[in-house]
Amino acid sequence: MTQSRSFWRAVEAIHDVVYFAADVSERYGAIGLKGYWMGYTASRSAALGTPSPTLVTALFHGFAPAIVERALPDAWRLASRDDVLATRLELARETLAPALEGADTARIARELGRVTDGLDYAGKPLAAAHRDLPVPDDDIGRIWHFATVVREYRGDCHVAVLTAAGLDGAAANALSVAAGLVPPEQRTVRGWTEDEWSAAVGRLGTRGWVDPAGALTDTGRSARAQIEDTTDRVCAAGFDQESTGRAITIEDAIVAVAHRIGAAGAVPYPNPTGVPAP
Amino acid sequence: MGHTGPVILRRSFWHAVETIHHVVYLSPAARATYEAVGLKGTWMGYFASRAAVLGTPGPEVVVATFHGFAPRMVHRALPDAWSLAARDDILEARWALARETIAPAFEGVDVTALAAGLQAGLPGLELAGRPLAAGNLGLTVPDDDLAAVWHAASVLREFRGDSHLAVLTGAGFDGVTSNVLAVAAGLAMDGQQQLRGWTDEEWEAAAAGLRGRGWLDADNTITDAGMVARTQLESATDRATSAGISREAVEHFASVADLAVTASKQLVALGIDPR
Repeated sequence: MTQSRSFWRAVEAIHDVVYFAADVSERYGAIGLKGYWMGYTASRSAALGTPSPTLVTALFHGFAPAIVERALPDAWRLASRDDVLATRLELARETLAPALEGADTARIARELGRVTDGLDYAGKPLAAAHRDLPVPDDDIGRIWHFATVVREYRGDCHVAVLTAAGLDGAAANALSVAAGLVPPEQRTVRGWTEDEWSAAVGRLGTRGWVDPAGALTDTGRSARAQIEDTTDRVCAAGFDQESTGRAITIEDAIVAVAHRIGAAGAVPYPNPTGVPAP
Repeated sequence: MGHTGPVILRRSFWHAVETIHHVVYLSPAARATYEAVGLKGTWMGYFASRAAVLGTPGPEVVVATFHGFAPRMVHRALPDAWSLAARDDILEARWALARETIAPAFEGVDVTALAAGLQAGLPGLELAGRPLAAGNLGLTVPDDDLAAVWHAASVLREFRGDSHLAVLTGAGFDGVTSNVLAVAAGLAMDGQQQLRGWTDEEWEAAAAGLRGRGWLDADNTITDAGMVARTQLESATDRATSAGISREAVEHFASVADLAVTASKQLVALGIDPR
């Protein structure tokens, strides 16, 4: 069986709080990074060490190499990796705390941790990198840490599905825009030039997934739906029995947390992840 | 010769880049090379030297990107390797080993042309979803033709490997199952289980899963359905690989494919590669 979409959307919301906090640029600025984008790129990739821009282009999938190079490797000279990771965890704690008031944080942390113990990390590099990080010693920190491992696990599964389907970074985003999953600004948010974007739309046209006007065709709609379904199945294949059970056990509790995150505006919808609210 | 259709990269090209790349693992000098910079034993040398293109990654990142090794085996080598040897020393030792090992195979091969042709195609590779290729591509390449050839061969070898891994992951295969299937299909040696660090229990559980799919029969011999499925994984890998290479890049690689094949055959003739 596959994990429910509500489970995945809740995990995504918990993880995403670090990208949407009001003062995120200032916080990373305080440790030396410059601007929102550098903070995003460095903080999400620091689990890997101080990775090169090419490696981050490979793992994030969907960002233009040029926009990654605007942030890396400069970020690693401007701020220490330890400071980046510590700032990210602090942001997570502060932003998540209000949504967790009154919740049984010890239980959520424990169950999410057990989910991460039973995942197959082969082929899932960003999840693996976060799994390699030390586990925080407080419940709220742990909840965010484990949710991050699980979120990146699904992202890695999705990237494998896209790569196996021969979809490059620009085309994958152009497909998401055509499918209405993300707004048209996605092109500039992900750093693609107009030429790169229209070439990507052209590749989707060759597949018959968009029409000459760039609108999604029925074939394209079912292809995009299949990518999402395949991602769910690939994710499920890497959950052992214990993880599968724990994910079911904790679903209601984390969906409630995600609702409070959404209600408080700590994560806005829609947003560039393309993931809807649970 | 008339132009008969689109330029393609044949399997022989991919075999050639694989052969050129993997001599650093097969060379009898490999162990001593890495021990000289502080690493301990063959496996630590293997894991650290191949993974150093990513930085100084933790063991789980290597489990994820290498795919197919039992996690316990990777944990025996990492992160210890990073405290025993400096990453720059490991990479430096690897360049030297690669250069020394492949040099004799370039007798009569225009290494300058091969280096230029392979390097010219690298910017046309789509990196998204291909971390080991991206790590290799991000390295600073020494300023000599042999290093440039070996670098490009490594990027390309890992590019196809990353694409294969995406296909395996996208088909829901874990590391041990992929290896059991490869052995049953005759693609890997019998000792693969030990080489990849899997216990008898793990190996048998994966075989049971494949029997459940009808891909292995009761005595773990591959079935027709299993052979078809394994062949499809390889075709899917070919498609995923070629989808990530621009037309210009294919032309650059194809223009020097004969040189790469000749060099790889001479490498095999030297006896470093047991195939």
